[in-house]
Amino acid sequence: MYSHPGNRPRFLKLSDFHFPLNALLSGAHRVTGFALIVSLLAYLILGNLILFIPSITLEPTASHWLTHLLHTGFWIALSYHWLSGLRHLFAEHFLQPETYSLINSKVVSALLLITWLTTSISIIYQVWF
Amino acid sequence: MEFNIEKASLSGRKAHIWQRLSAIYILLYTPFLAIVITQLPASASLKVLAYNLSNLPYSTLFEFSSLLALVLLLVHAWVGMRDIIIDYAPRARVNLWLTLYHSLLALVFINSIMIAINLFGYA
Repeated sequence: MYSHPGNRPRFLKLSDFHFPLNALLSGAHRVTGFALIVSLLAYLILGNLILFIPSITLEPTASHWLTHLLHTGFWIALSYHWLSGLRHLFAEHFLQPETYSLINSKVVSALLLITWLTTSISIIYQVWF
Repeated sequence: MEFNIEKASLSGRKAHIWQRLSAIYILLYTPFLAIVITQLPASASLKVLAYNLSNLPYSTLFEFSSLLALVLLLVHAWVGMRDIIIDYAPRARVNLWLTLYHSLLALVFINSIMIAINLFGYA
């Protein structure tokens, strides 16, 4: 792999790497963080449109499928970011070897994913039905 | 406010402390926000929504905690995205991306306060 003179790898082809589950979950924490910033900007734009353009009102906007999509994306990303952030905080706080390896175990990873999937189904139900 | 962000002037330790403090606050605030939202009646306009929010039995707590959440959210978003920019942006343009992102967050803060003043009449 090409290495930048500053010892920073560049132009990474991510599909050539095989990451452990925890690395993928940690990467997803960053991805959802980015998605949250984008969706917050979208909410702000929506708020400005409703507030400052008289022809755009809350009621029809709130029932529009794009707004539903925004709510779904925001809350699903937030629930993942919340759960994996909690795990990061625990991992940084509980540094004893037994507790640390428990927090980073596959069981906890699976629990995180199951909780997130359950929450996501509940979010989809709340927003769309 | 300093808008030209230089990577060399950024501190990892301070950022980590702020990231953790803001994370703990947002961790507690998010379920509170979710409960408030699910309890609100449907609103026909933003003014009605603001009225409903300011008539909650714990509205003062909600307003104060939301303002603090906005500030800490921006701090959290700054540190998180700042690290992503430092890790992935081409080195020659890191300072430019940091300055642009910093300015965007400043605009978001100003705009959020403007919307809050407009809705709740806190002028």
